[in-house]
Amino acid sequence: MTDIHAHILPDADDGSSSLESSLAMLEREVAFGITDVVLTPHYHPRRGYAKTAAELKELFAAFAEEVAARGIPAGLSLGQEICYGEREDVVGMLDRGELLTMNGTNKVLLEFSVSRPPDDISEIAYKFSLHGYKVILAHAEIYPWLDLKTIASMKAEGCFVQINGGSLLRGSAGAAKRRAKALLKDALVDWVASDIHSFRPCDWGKVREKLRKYPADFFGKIG
Amino acid sequence: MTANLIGKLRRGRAKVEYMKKDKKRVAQNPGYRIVSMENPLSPAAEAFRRLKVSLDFLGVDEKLQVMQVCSAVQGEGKTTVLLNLGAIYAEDGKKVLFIDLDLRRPRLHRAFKIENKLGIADYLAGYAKAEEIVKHVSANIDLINCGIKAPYPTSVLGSQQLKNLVEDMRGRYDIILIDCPPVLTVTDACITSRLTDGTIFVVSASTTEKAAAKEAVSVFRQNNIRILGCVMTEVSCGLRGSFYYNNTLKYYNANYGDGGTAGN
Repeated sequence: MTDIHAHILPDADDGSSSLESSLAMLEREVAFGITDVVLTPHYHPRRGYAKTAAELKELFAAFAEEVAARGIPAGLSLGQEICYGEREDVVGMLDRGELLTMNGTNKVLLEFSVSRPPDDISEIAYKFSLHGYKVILAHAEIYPWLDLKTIASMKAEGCFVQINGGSLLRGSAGAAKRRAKALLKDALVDWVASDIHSFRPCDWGKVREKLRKYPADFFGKIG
Repeated sequence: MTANLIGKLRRGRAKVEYMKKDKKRVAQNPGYRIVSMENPLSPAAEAFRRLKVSLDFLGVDEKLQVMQVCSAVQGEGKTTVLLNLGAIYAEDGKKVLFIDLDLRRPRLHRAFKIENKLGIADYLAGYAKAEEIVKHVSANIDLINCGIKAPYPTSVLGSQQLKNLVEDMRGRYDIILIDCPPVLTVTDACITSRLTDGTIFVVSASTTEKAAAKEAVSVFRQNNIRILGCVMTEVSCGLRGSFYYNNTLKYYNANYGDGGTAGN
Protein backbone atom coordinates (compact mmCIF):
# COMPACT_ATOMS: atom_id res chain seq x y z
CA MET A 1 0.00 0.00 0.00
CA THR A 2 1.42 3.30 -1.06
CA ASP A 3 0.47 6.68 0.29
CA ILE A 4 1.40 9.07 -2.50
CA HIS A 5 0.62 12.36 -0.78
CA ALA A 6 1.98 12.97 2.70
CA HIS A 7 3.53 15.97 4.44
CA ILE A 8 5.65 13.98 6.82
CA LEU A 9 9.10 15.32 6.00
CA PRO A 10 10.14 17.42 9.02
CA ASP A 11 10.78 21.17 8.69
CA ALA A 12 9.95 21.23 5.00
CA ASP A 13 6.53 22.84 5.17
CA ASP A 14 3.50 23.06 7.44
CA GLY A 15 3.31 19.27 7.68
CA SER A 16 5.53 18.56 10.63
CA SER A 17 7.71 20.85 12.66
CA SER A 18 9.89 18.28 14.39
CA LEU A 19 11.53 14.98 13.75
CA GLU A 20 9.64 13.40 16.63
CA SER A 21 6.23 14.27 15.26
CA SER A 22 7.30 13.11 11.81
CA LEU A 23 8.34 9.75 13.16
CA ALA A 24 5.11 9.44 15.13
CA MET A 25 3.12 10.22 11.95
CA LEU A 26 5.05 7.65 9.96
CA GLU A 27 4.66 5.00 12.64
CA ARG A 28 0.94 5.59 12.66
CA GLU A 29 0.80 5.16 8.90
CA VAL A 30 2.76 1.92 9.12
CA ALA A 31 0.44 0.66 11.85
CA PHE A 32 -2.43 1.04 9.40
CA GLY A 33 -0.68 -1.15 6.86
CA ILE A 34 0.97 1.46 4.65
CA THR A 35 4.21 0.04 3.26
CA ASP A 36 5.43 2.88 1.05
CA VAL A 37 5.13 6.62 1.46
CA VAL A 38 5.94 9.33 -1.04
CA LEU A 39 6.89 12.42 0.93
CA THR A 40 5.44 15.42 -0.85
CA PRO A 41 6.32 18.73 0.78
CA HIS A 42 4.60 21.84 -0.56
CA TYR A 43 5.98 24.09 -3.22
CA HIS A 44 3.80 27.09 -2.49
CA PRO A 45 5.80 30.32 -2.69
CA ARG A 46 2.84 32.52 -1.79
CA ARG A 47 2.54 30.68 1.50
CA GLY A 48 6.28 30.74 1.99
CA TYR A 49 7.09 27.12 1.20
CA ALA A 50 9.70 27.30 -1.49
CA LYS A 51 12.54 25.03 -0.44
CA THR A 52 14.84 24.16 -3.30
CA ALA A 53 15.10 20.64 -4.64
CA ALA A 54 18.62 20.29 -3.21
CA GLU A 55 17.46 21.33 0.26
CA LEU A 56 14.57 18.87 0.13
CA LYS A 57 16.82 16.05 -0.98
CA GLU A 58 19.13 16.78 1.93
CA LEU A 59 16.24 16.79 4.40
CA PHE A 60 14.94 13.59 2.84
CA ALA A 61 18.27 11.80 3.10
CA ALA A 62 18.59 12.73 6.78
CA PHE A 63 15.04 11.65 7.52
CA ALA A 64 15.35 8.37 5.63
CA GLU A 65 18.50 7.60 7.61
CA GLU A 66 16.71 8.28 10.87
CA VAL A 67 13.77 6.08 9.83
CA ALA A 68 16.11 3.27 8.89
CA ALA A 69 17.98 3.62 12.17
CA ARG A 70 14.75 3.27 14.12
CA GLY A 71 13.75 0.28 12.03
CA ILE A 72 10.42 1.63 10.86
CA PRO A 73 9.43 -0.63 7.94
CA ALA A 74 8.36 2.03 5.43
CA GLY A 75 9.73 2.51 1.94
CA LEU A 76 10.26 6.23 1.53
CA SER A 77 10.57 8.23 -1.63
CA LEU A 78 10.51 11.92 -2.38
CA GLY A 79 8.15 14.01 -4.45
CA GLN A 80 6.69 17.48 -4.22
CA GLU A 81 3.21 18.94 -4.16
CA ILE A 82 3.49 21.82 -6.56
CA CYS A 83 1.09 24.71 -6.44
CA TYR A 84 0.34 25.72 -10.01
CA GLY A 85 0.25 29.38 -10.95
CA GLU A 86 0.12 30.72 -14.48
CA ARG A 87 2.64 33.43 -13.69
CA GLU A 88 5.32 30.99 -12.72
CA ASP A 89 7.00 28.81 -15.24
CA VAL A 90 6.43 25.60 -13.29
CA VAL A 91 7.17 23.37 -16.28
CA GLY A 92 10.44 25.17 -16.90
CA MET A 93 11.40 24.81 -13.24
CA LEU A 94 10.73 21.07 -13.48
CA ASP A 95 12.86 20.90 -16.60
CA ARG A 96 15.69 22.67 -14.83
CA GLY A 97 15.37 20.33 -11.86
CA GLU A 98 14.34 23.10 -9.47
CA LEU A 99 11.16 21.24 -8.64
CA LEU A 100 10.73 17.55 -7.98
CA THR A 101 8.60 15.00 -9.74
CA MET A 102 7.15 12.03 -7.90
CA ASN A 103 9.96 9.65 -6.99
CA GLY A 104 11.93 10.69 -10.06
CA THR A 105 9.24 9.50 -12.49
CA ASN A 106 7.53 11.77 -15.00
CA LYS A 107 4.49 12.26 -12.75
CA VAL A 108 3.91 15.61 -11.10
CA LEU A 109 1.62 16.18 -8.12
CA LEU A 110 -0.17 19.44 -8.81
CA GLU A 111 -2.45 21.54 -6.65
CA PHE A 112 -4.29 24.76 -7.43
CA SER A 113 -5.77 27.69 -5.62
CA VAL A 114 -8.99 26.58 -4.00
CA SER A 115 -10.74 29.89 -4.52
CA ARG A 116 -9.61 30.82 -8.00
CA PRO A 117 -9.31 28.48 -10.97
CA PRO A 118 -6.33 28.90 -13.29
CA ASP A 119 -7.15 30.56 -16.62
CA ASP A 120 -5.87 27.64 -18.61
CA ILE A 121 -7.23 24.64 -16.76
CA SER A 122 -8.00 22.82 -20.01
CA GLU A 123 -4.45 23.45 -21.25
CA ILE A 124 -2.62 22.14 -18.20
CA ALA A 125 -2.43 18.47 -19.15
CA TYR A 126 -1.30 19.42 -22.65
CA LYS A 127 1.28 21.90 -21.42
CA PHE A 128 2.89 19.35 -19.12
CA SER A 129 2.68 16.55 -21.66
CA LEU A 130 4.64 18.65 -24.17
CA HIS A 131 7.59 18.38 -21.79
CA GLY A 132 6.94 14.72 -21.03
CA TYR A 133 5.24 15.14 -17.66
CA LYS A 134 2.02 13.60 -16.46
CA VAL A 135 -0.12 15.48 -13.99
CA ILE A 136 -1.61 13.99 -10.85
CA LEU A 137 -4.40 16.25 -9.63
CA ALA A 138 -3.87 16.47 -5.89
CA HIS A 139 -7.02 16.29 -3.77
CA ALA A 140 -9.19 16.81 -6.84
CA GLU A 141 -12.34 16.84 -4.73
CA ILE A 142 -11.66 20.00 -2.74
CA TYR A 143 -12.01 22.53 -5.56
CA PRO A 144 -15.50 24.06 -5.87
CA TRP A 145 -14.71 25.16 -9.44
CA LEU A 146 -13.51 21.80 -10.70
CA ASP A 147 -16.48 19.76 -11.85
CA LEU A 148 -16.63 16.11 -12.83
CA LYS A 149 -16.82 16.88 -16.51
CA THR A 150 -13.60 18.86 -16.44
CA ILE A 151 -11.89 16.14 -14.44
CA ALA A 152 -13.09 13.49 -16.90
CA SER A 153 -11.77 15.47 -19.85
CA MET A 154 -8.45 16.06 -18.08
CA LYS A 155 -8.22 12.33 -17.45
CA ALA A 156 -8.87 11.72 -21.11
CA GLU A 157 -5.83 13.88 -21.80
CA GLY A 158 -3.66 11.78 -19.53
CA CYS A 159 -4.04 13.28 -16.06
CA PHE A 160 -4.33 11.16 -12.94
CA VAL A 161 -6.65 11.89 -10.05
CA GLN A 162 -5.83 11.69 -6.37
CA ILE A 163 -8.38 12.26 -3.63
CA ASN A 164 -7.89 12.60 0.11
CA GLY A 165 -9.03 9.68 2.23
CA GLY A 166 -10.13 12.12 4.88
CA SER A 167 -12.68 13.68 2.55
CA LEU A 168 -14.72 10.48 2.66
CA LEU A 169 -15.12 10.51 6.42
CA ARG A 170 -17.53 12.23 8.71
CA GLY A 171 -16.47 15.72 9.55
CA SER A 172 -15.17 16.68 6.14
CA ALA A 173 -16.78 19.53 4.24
CA GLY A 174 -20.04 18.36 2.68
CA ALA A 175 -19.32 19.46 -0.86
CA ALA A 176 -15.86 17.86 -0.93
CA LYS A 177 -17.29 14.62 0.40
CA ARG A 178 -20.01 14.67 -2.26
CA ARG A 179 -17.51 15.29 -5.03
CA ALA A 180 -15.15 12.60 -3.72
CA LYS A 181 -17.96 10.05 -3.74
CA ALA A 182 -19.05 11.07 -7.21
CA LEU A 183 -15.48 10.70 -8.46
CA LEU A 184 -15.25 7.21 -6.96
CA LYS A 185 -18.60 6.25 -8.42
CA ASP A 186 -17.51 7.36 -11.87
CA ALA A 187 -14.28 5.40 -11.53
CA LEU A 188 -12.24 8.54 -12.05
CA VAL A 189 -9.96 8.08 -9.03
CA ASP A 190 -6.46 6.66 -9.42
CA TRP A 191 -5.13 7.17 -5.90
CA VAL A 192 -6.54 7.74 -2.47
CA ALA A 193 -3.93 9.32 -0.23
CA SER A 194 -3.73 10.81 3.23
CA ASP A 195 -2.44 14.37 2.60
CA ILE A 196 -1.33 13.92 6.19
CA HIS A 197 -0.18 16.94 8.23
CA SER A 198 0.56 16.84 11.93
CA PHE A 199 -2.73 18.65 12.49
CA ARG A 200 -4.60 16.44 10.02
CA PRO A 201 -4.15 12.78 10.81
CA CYS A 202 -5.67 10.15 8.59
CA ASP A 203 -7.73 7.25 9.87
CA TRP A 204 -6.88 4.66 7.26
CA GLY A 205 -9.05 2.03 8.92
CA LYS A 206 -12.22 4.01 8.36
CA VAL A 207 -11.13 5.15 4.91
CA ARG A 208 -10.54 1.59 3.79
CA GLU A 209 -13.94 0.66 5.15
CA LYS A 210 -15.48 3.36 2.95
CA LEU A 211 -13.51 2.20 -0.08
CA ARG A 212 -14.49 -1.44 0.29
CA LYS A 213 -17.38 -1.23 -2.19
CA TYR A 214 -15.20 0.08 -5.00
CA PRO A 215 -13.28 -2.59 -6.86
CA ALA A 216 -10.22 -0.59 -7.95
CA ASP A 217 -6.85 -0.51 -6.19
CA PHE A 218 -6.33 3.01 -4.91
CA PHE A 219 -2.90 2.48 -3.37
CA GLY A 220 -0.77 1.51 -6.33
CA LYS A 221 2.93 2.27 -6.52
CA ILE A 222 4.12 5.32 -8.40
CA GLY A 223 6.00 4.08 -11.36
CA MET B 1 -32.78 27.20 -45.38
CA THR B 2 -30.37 24.78 -46.86
CA ALA B 3 -26.70 24.39 -47.43
CA ASN B 4 -25.10 22.22 -50.08
CA LEU B 5 -23.37 19.13 -48.85
CA ILE B 6 -19.79 19.49 -49.97
CA GLY B 7 -18.10 16.79 -47.93
CA LYS B 8 -18.77 13.65 -46.00
CA LEU B 9 -16.33 12.20 -43.50
CA ARG B 10 -16.45 8.91 -41.72
CA ARG B 11 -16.31 8.54 -38.00
CA GLY B 12 -13.07 7.46 -36.45
CA ARG B 13 -12.15 9.44 -33.39
CA ALA B 14 -10.97 7.85 -30.18
CA LYS B 15 -13.28 8.52 -27.29
CA VAL B 16 -12.82 7.75 -23.65
CA GLU B 17 -15.99 6.87 -21.91
CA TYR B 18 -16.79 6.84 -18.26
CA MET B 19 -19.94 5.08 -17.30
CA LYS B 20 -22.22 6.34 -14.60
CA LYS B 21 -25.13 4.01 -14.14
CA ASP B 22 -27.16 4.57 -17.28
CA LYS B 23 -25.77 7.99 -18.02
CA LYS B 24 -22.78 8.07 -20.31
CA ARG B 25 -20.09 10.54 -19.55
CA VAL B 26 -18.01 10.97 -22.61
CA ALA B 27 -14.74 12.83 -22.59
CA GLN B 28 -12.86 13.42 -25.77
CA ASN B 29 -9.17 13.53 -26.04
CA PRO B 30 -8.47 16.66 -28.02
CA GLY B 31 -5.49 15.22 -29.79
CA TYR B 32 -6.05 16.07 -33.41
CA ARG B 33 -5.03 13.81 -36.22
CA ILE B 34 -4.12 15.12 -39.61
CA VAL B 35 -4.72 11.97 -41.62
CA SER B 36 -4.07 13.80 -44.85
CA MET B 37 -0.46 14.17 -43.69
CA GLU B 38 -0.07 10.93 -41.74
CA ASN B 39 -1.44 8.79 -44.45
CA PRO B 40 -2.01 10.64 -47.71
CA LEU B 41 -3.21 7.52 -49.50
CA SER B 42 -5.95 6.65 -47.06
CA PRO B 43 -9.62 6.90 -47.99
CA ALA B 44 -9.99 9.50 -45.24
CA ALA B 45 -7.44 11.74 -46.93
CA GLU B 46 -9.28 11.10 -50.17
CA ALA B 47 -12.48 12.38 -48.57
CA PHE B 48 -10.74 15.63 -47.70
CA ARG B 49 -9.39 15.85 -51.23
CA ARG B 50 -12.94 15.55 -52.48
CA LEU B 51 -13.93 18.39 -50.17
CA LYS B 52 -11.13 20.50 -51.55
CA VAL B 53 -12.25 19.83 -55.10
CA SER B 54 -15.80 20.85 -54.18
CA LEU B 55 -14.43 24.10 -52.83
CA ASP B 56 -12.36 24.62 -55.96
CA PHE B 57 -15.49 24.39 -58.06
CA LEU B 58 -17.34 26.74 -55.75
CA GLY B 59 -14.59 29.23 -56.26
CA VAL B 60 -14.58 29.17 -60.04
CA ASP B 61 -15.91 32.67 -60.50
CA GLU B 62 -14.38 34.27 -57.46
CA LYS B 63 -11.37 33.61 -55.38
CA LEU B 64 -11.99 31.75 -52.16
CA GLN B 65 -8.88 32.61 -50.28
CA VAL B 66 -9.90 33.19 -46.69
CA MET B 67 -12.32 30.67 -45.25
CA GLN B 68 -13.52 29.89 -41.78
CA VAL B 69 -14.72 26.58 -40.49
CA CYS B 70 -17.63 26.75 -38.13
CA SER B 71 -20.22 24.51 -36.51
CA ALA B 72 -23.34 24.77 -34.40
CA VAL B 73 -21.97 23.41 -31.16
CA GLN B 74 -18.68 22.19 -29.74
CA GLY B 75 -17.00 18.92 -30.66
CA GLU B 76 -18.30 18.37 -34.16
CA GLY B 77 -14.99 18.32 -35.93
CA LYS B 78 -14.30 21.91 -36.93
CA THR B 79 -10.63 21.81 -36.15
CA THR B 80 -10.08 18.39 -37.67
CA VAL B 81 -11.74 19.46 -40.91
CA LEU B 82 -9.76 22.68 -40.97
CA LEU B 83 -6.41 20.98 -40.37
CA ASN B 84 -6.94 18.24 -42.90
CA LEU B 85 -8.28 20.59 -45.54
CA GLY B 86 -5.27 22.81 -45.02
CA ALA B 87 -2.94 19.83 -45.32
CA ILE B 88 -4.54 18.92 -48.65
CA TYR B 89 -4.02 22.45 -49.95
CA ALA B 90 -0.42 22.35 -48.75
CA GLU B 91 0.08 19.06 -50.52
CA ASP B 92 -1.01 20.84 -53.68
CA GLY B 93 1.83 23.27 -53.22
CA LYS B 94 -0.30 26.13 -51.90
CA LYS B 95 0.95 28.26 -49.08
CA VAL B 96 -1.46 27.75 -46.22
CA LEU B 97 -1.99 29.78 -43.06
CA PHE B 98 -4.07 28.63 -40.11
CA ILE B 99 -5.37 31.27 -37.74
CA ASP B 100 -6.85 30.26 -34.40
CA LEU B 101 -9.59 32.78 -33.69
CA ASP B 102 -11.29 30.55 -31.15
CA LEU B 103 -10.05 32.80 -28.39
CA ARG B 104 -12.21 31.11 -25.80
CA ARG B 105 -11.11 27.53 -26.29
CA PRO B 106 -7.99 27.56 -28.45
CA ARG B 107 -6.95 24.15 -29.71
CA LEU B 108 -5.22 24.58 -33.06
CA HIS B 109 -1.69 24.67 -31.60
CA ARG B 110 -2.18 21.19 -30.17
CA ALA B 111 -2.27 19.62 -33.60
CA PHE B 112 1.34 20.70 -34.13
CA LYS B 113 2.55 20.02 -30.60
CA ILE B 114 3.54 23.57 -29.84
CA GLU B 115 2.83 25.71 -26.82
CA ASN B 116 0.13 28.32 -26.94
CA LYS B 117 2.54 31.20 -26.55
CA LEU B 118 2.78 34.49 -28.47
CA GLY B 119 -0.33 34.35 -30.58
CA ILE B 120 -2.90 36.56 -32.18
CA ALA B 121 -4.19 37.83 -28.83
CA ASP B 122 -0.67 38.90 -27.86
CA TYR B 123 -0.34 40.73 -31.17
CA LEU B 124 -3.65 42.52 -30.82
CA ALA B 125 -2.81 43.48 -27.25
CA GLY B 126 0.49 44.90 -28.45
CA TYR B 127 2.69 42.33 -26.69
CA ALA B 128 4.09 40.80 -29.86
CA LYS B 129 4.99 41.79 -33.40
CA ALA B 130 3.32 40.34 -36.49
CA GLU B 131 6.47 38.44 -37.46
CA GLU B 132 6.72 36.79 -34.06
CA ILE B 133 3.27 35.24 -34.05
CA VAL B 134 3.51 33.38 -37.36
CA LYS B 135 4.98 29.94 -36.77
CA HIS B 136 6.17 27.64 -39.48
CA VAL B 137 4.80 24.24 -38.47
CA SER B 138 5.01 22.05 -41.52
CA ALA B 139 5.90 22.16 -45.21
CA ASN B 140 3.86 24.97 -46.77
CA ILE B 141 1.90 25.42 -43.55
CA ASP B 142 2.15 28.32 -41.14
CA LEU B 143 0.14 28.83 -38.01
CA ILE B 144 -0.97 31.76 -35.90
CA ASN B 145 -2.04 30.36 -32.57
CA CYS B 146 -4.28 32.08 -30.06
CA GLY B 147 -1.92 33.14 -27.30
CA ILE B 148 -2.92 34.73 -24.02
CA LYS B 149 -6.49 34.69 -22.88
CA ALA B 150 -8.32 37.79 -24.06
CA PRO B 151 -10.90 39.02 -21.58
CA TYR B 152 -13.26 40.44 -24.24
CA PRO B 153 -12.98 38.21 -27.31
CA THR B 154 -15.79 39.87 -29.27
CA SER B 155 -14.24 43.32 -29.18
CA VAL B 156 -10.85 41.90 -30.06
CA LEU B 157 -12.26 40.04 -33.05
CA GLY B 158 -14.06 43.10 -34.34
CA SER B 159 -10.92 45.23 -34.26
CA GLN B 160 -9.54 47.02 -37.29
CA GLN B 161 -6.08 45.77 -36.43
CA LEU B 162 -7.14 42.16 -36.94
CA LYS B 163 -8.76 43.09 -40.24
CA ASN B 164 -5.54 44.72 -41.36
CA LEU B 165 -3.54 41.67 -40.34
CA VAL B 166 -5.74 39.32 -42.35
CA GLU B 167 -5.63 41.68 -45.34
CA ASP B 168 -1.87 41.73 -45.07
CA MET B 169 -1.74 37.93 -44.92
CA ARG B 170 -3.89 37.69 -48.06
CA GLY B 171 -0.90 38.94 -49.95
CA ARG B 172 1.44 36.35 -48.51
CA TYR B 173 -0.59 33.15 -48.52
CA ASP B 174 -2.70 31.29 -51.05
CA ILE B 175 -5.15 29.91 -48.54
CA ILE B 176 -6.02 31.18 -45.09
CA LEU B 177 -8.18 28.97 -42.87
CA ILE B 178 -9.70 30.38 -39.71
CA ASP B 179 -10.82 28.35 -36.71
CA CYS B 180 -13.66 29.91 -34.76
CA PRO B 181 -15.95 29.01 -31.87
CA PRO B 182 -19.31 27.29 -32.41
CA VAL B 183 -21.94 29.68 -33.64
CA LEU B 184 -24.74 28.83 -31.23
CA THR B 185 -22.63 29.29 -28.11
CA VAL B 186 -21.09 32.68 -28.85
CA THR B 187 -21.33 35.31 -31.54
CA ASP B 188 -17.62 35.26 -32.39
CA ALA B 189 -18.11 33.35 -35.63
CA CYS B 190 -20.46 36.03 -36.98
CA ILE B 191 -17.81 38.65 -36.34
CA THR B 192 -14.90 36.69 -37.78
CA SER B 193 -16.95 35.89 -40.88
CA ARG B 194 -16.46 39.55 -41.91
CA LEU B 195 -12.80 38.71 -42.45
CA THR B 196 -13.51 35.78 -44.73
CA ASP B 197 -14.75 34.96 -48.20
CA GLY B 198 -17.03 32.26 -46.92
CA THR B 199 -17.85 29.84 -44.14
CA ILE B 200 -17.63 26.07 -44.20
CA PHE B 201 -20.33 24.67 -41.98
CA VAL B 202 -19.49 21.45 -40.15
CA VAL B 203 -22.26 19.18 -38.93
CA SER B 204 -21.74 15.94 -37.08
CA ALA B 205 -23.99 13.23 -38.40
CA SER B 206 -24.02 11.45 -35.07
CA THR B 207 -24.07 14.15 -32.40
CA THR B 208 -25.48 17.40 -33.81
CA GLU B 209 -29.17 17.80 -33.15
CA LYS B 210 -31.24 18.64 -36.16
CA ALA B 211 -32.72 21.70 -34.49
CA ALA B 212 -29.24 22.98 -33.57
CA ALA B 213 -28.00 22.66 -37.13
CA LYS B 214 -31.09 24.45 -38.46
CA GLU B 215 -30.75 27.18 -35.87
CA ALA B 216 -27.09 27.64 -36.80
CA VAL B 217 -27.95 28.02 -40.46
CA SER B 218 -30.60 30.59 -39.64
CA VAL B 219 -28.08 32.51 -37.54
CA PHE B 220 -25.75 32.52 -40.56
CA ARG B 221 -28.56 33.79 -42.78
CA GLN B 222 -29.59 36.51 -40.37
CA ASN B 223 -26.06 37.78 -40.24
CA ASN B 224 -25.67 37.59 -43.98
CA ILE B 225 -22.87 35.10 -43.72
CA ARG B 226 -22.04 33.22 -46.84
CA ILE B 227 -22.13 29.47 -46.29
CA LEU B 228 -19.98 27.76 -48.87
CA GLY B 229 -21.43 24.41 -47.98
CA CYS B 230 -21.87 21.84 -45.32
CA VAL B 231 -19.45 19.12 -44.31
CA MET B 232 -20.89 16.06 -42.58
CA THR B 233 -18.53 14.54 -40.06
CA GLU B 234 -18.71 11.40 -37.96
CA VAL B 235 -20.88 9.71 -40.55
CA SER B 236 -21.27 6.25 -39.07
CA CYS B 237 -21.01 3.69 -41.74
CA GLY B 238 -24.36 2.13 -42.12
CA LEU B 239 -22.94 1.92 -45.57
CA ARG B 240 -20.34 -0.54 -44.44
CA GLY B 241 -22.73 -3.46 -44.86
CA SER B 242 -23.72 -2.46 -48.34
CA PHE B 243 -22.33 -4.28 -51.28
CA TYR B 244 -21.50 -1.16 -53.19
CA TYR B 245 -19.51 0.53 -50.43
CA ASN B 246 -17.58 -2.57 -49.50
CA ASN B 247 -16.56 -2.99 -53.06
CA THR B 248 -15.58 0.65 -53.31
CA LEU B 249 -13.16 0.18 -50.46
CA LYS B 250 -11.83 -3.05 -51.88
CA TYR B 251 -11.38 -1.44 -55.24
CA TYR B 252 -9.75 1.57 -53.66
CA ASN B 253 -7.34 -0.47 -51.58
CA ALA B 254 -6.42 -2.74 -54.44
CA ASN B 255 -5.77 -0.03 -56.97
CA TYR B 256 -5.03 3.22 -55.22
CA GLY B 257 -4.42 2.60 -51.54
CA ASP B 258 -1.37 1.43 -49.73
CA GLY B 259 -2.37 -2.19 -49.51
CA GLY B 260 -5.21 -1.89 -47.07
CA THR B 261 -3.41 -0.55 -44.01
CA ALA B 262 -5.42 2.63 -44.22
CA GLY B 263 -8.80 1.14 -43.56
CA ASN B 264 -10.12 4.32 -42.06
